[in-house]
Amino acid sequence: MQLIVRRVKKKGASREVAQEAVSGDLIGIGRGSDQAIQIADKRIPLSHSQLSFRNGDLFIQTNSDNSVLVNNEAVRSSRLSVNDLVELAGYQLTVLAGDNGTDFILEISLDAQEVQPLQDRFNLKIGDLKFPQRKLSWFFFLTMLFVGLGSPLLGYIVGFDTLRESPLPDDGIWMSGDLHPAHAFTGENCQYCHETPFVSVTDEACLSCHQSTNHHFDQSLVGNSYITGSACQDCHGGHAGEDITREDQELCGTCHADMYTAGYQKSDLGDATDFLENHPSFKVSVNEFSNSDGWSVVRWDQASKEPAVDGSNLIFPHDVHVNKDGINGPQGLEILGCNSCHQVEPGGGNMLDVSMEKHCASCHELAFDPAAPDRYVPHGEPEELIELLKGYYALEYLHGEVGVGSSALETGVEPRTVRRPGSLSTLSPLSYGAGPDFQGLSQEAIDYVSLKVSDAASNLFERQACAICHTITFDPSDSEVPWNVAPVKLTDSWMPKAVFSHDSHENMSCGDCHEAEASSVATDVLMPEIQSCQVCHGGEHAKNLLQSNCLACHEFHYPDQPKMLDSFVFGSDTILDPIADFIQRASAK
Amino acid sequence: MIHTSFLSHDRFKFLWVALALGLISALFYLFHDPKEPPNGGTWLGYSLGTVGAILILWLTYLGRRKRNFLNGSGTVKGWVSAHVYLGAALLIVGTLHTGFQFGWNIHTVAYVLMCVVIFSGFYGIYAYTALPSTRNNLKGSQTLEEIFVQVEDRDAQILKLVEGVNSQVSSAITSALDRTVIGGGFREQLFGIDRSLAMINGRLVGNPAQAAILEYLIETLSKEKGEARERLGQLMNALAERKKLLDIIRDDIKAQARTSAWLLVHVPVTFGLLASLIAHVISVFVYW
Repeated sequence: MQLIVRRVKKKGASREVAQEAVSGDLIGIGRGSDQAIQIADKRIPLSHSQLSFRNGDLFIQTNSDNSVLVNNEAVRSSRLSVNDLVELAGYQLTVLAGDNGTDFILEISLDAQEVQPLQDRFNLKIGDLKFPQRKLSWFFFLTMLFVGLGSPLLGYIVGFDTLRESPLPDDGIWMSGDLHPAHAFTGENCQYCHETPFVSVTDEACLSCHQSTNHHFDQSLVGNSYITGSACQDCHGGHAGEDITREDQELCGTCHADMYTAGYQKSDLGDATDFLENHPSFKVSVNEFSNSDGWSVVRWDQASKEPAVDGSNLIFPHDVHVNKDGINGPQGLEILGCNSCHQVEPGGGNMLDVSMEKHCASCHELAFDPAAPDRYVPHGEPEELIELLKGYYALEYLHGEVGVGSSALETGVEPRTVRRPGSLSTLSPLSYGAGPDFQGLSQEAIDYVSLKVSDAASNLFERQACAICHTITFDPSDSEVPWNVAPVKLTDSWMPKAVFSHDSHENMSCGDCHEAEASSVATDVLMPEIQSCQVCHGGEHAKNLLQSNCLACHEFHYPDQPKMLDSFVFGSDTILDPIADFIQRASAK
Repeated sequence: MIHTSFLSHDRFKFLWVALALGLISALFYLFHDPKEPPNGGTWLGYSLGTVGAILILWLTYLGRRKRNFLNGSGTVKGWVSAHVYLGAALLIVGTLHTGFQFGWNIHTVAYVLMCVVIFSGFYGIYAYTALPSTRNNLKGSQTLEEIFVQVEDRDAQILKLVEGVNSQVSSAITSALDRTVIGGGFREQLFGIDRSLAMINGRLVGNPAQAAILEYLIETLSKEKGEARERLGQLMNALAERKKLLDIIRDDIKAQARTSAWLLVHVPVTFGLLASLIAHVISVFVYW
């Protein structure tokens, strides 16, 4: 093998070249002086590698563990062709074609590129790793913007139904908290409530389902609407699970603390902020009857000087009836308790109505003839009773049972006139009025029935039955039925503006609140005053008392007020009847 | 002027500011009775949210302020001090703003990203306070560049010494020199992993902390006698000294990496937070 070894040194712009011929079968490269190609550099071992020539090709083979870069590849041996670049320890050996009989020219550049300083060869800092921080920041920014805002907003363009069916993020990602369980179905379609972007949930949206909700008061009467655009939202929230209704007394106090300043000058309600600290005395509703106007309800403040008077027109002494020693009834001694007549309605709220038939009739039998103590008249209108009596005695006469019993005719005894003080009674034969039906009757029969009925009727009305409980006036101008029974109306709800549950108080006794044992007249109103309730109930923040806010006794949406629905005109945004809409969508799937 | 750290800057002024902010927020939260479950939509929720949002935007602005080192109000150190303390206070303000109402939604995502940023920032505080002195103690009065030069000198020395030694040993030693790796990727830098190699007995083996070559030398040395042994001994010394220097370099690289790597979380996540914050605020008013 014939080689020319050309050593090139760069000196500025020019090159210094030294050339020598080398030949041999194996040509060694290394630092050692015995090497044919000696490169005097510390980094190069004494004997680094060898060049050999086989079949017209040049080969390089490194010694022992050295490696060499051939065309940037680290190898132990390699075939070398023209223009191949061998690098070792920073020296560049370029293989060139030989000329004039030499096989190859090996050009060694002595001022090879500076060996890189150790520092520059490695990544020593995080910064050297060229982490794409800026790109990553943009990526995060744009991704979150798309996921959190851009994608959901697409709903306004492509329609939310379409968006929700696609895998893209939809407005569900905006849901800030659980819905009330009853509203859970609306979670499928936020537009049931959130009709218009950037506009609060409207009252119309709520009322499109809650159509039975009533006003708190009749606004046509008391001016000054409390609806300010979001009346529902004043008290009711949205995404807070079951806890979406405000019940604090402060909220009620925003108006009720000072009704006048709140704008409700026409209201006669007292100011109230706290049941214990600041609440008006109770008012009861009592009945009043006048002949000209009939029945009316009167509100009576329990704090006023005169005690409330109930004009039920009934005569009833509680003290007699609940006497601990009992009371004589037709079946013997009866010891009555409160629940003999008063039962709680189903649900435990107010008391059921007391009725004569159910509660009084077992003792107060409407017998009319001592000779027939088991015959009663029904508890009905006077005219009706008279007709029944007529029929009874006419039948008696027809059956020839004249004289049975204490008939005046038989015994010849003048009927005893036992008068209750104050009631008029003069026995007088009742006239029947002309009619073809009675023409055939003998005068005796007519007189008999007439007298008997008169006797029985006055018995009933004046002595034995009616007059005991009813206020009866005698009107002689009406010869047929001269007795007028004043109409009776028992109060159904003494405090209609409050809701009360007797069941909640079932462990108390009736007398703890109702002083029935001391009441001898039915005009007494036996309802407790506020002080009685305040023994146990305090305001919302009371200490050592039952904490009661306004809703403990009062409602907001009053059943007797008009519907809130009627105050609104529904816009085109509102989905009317969302429940039906939801069902339709669900069944369409 | 005596140097104060960014933590004690201006007599801990921003610590007091942040403490006051956190305390006031906490007091308001404790005494506020929202009459509904606490959430970001009560009047207190809106207030804390506004404060928090402004804080986030101002905190992000440090990125710009620090790039205009000489211009701008105050000093960058002052800004960093304020950034660190008010960033910590943001954790209080932001958390109280939520009223602890969390769910799988964009709002909680924004909160979580905020927490990631803040807690990565806490690591940054540790890095900036503890690591510089660690690096100082490592290097003494030298710079990293100087240590590198010392390594290069050692390399040259070793190459000279290796001349009188048999080729097997010398090629092992030169390979250890050639194949020394310093630094590297994220894991190598952050955990000080040494990927150095050496060609010993014809096999390429791992040579972390130059252990393999040193062990090889010990073995070889023990079998030699006389001058050869002495030579090897000298080489051993040189390689050991070189190893010490490389260890210092590696530890310094580790400390330096840990000083800056956390920013690769802190900054990109901040931008994710900014976008989530925008989405959070706008969406609240879209479905008001």
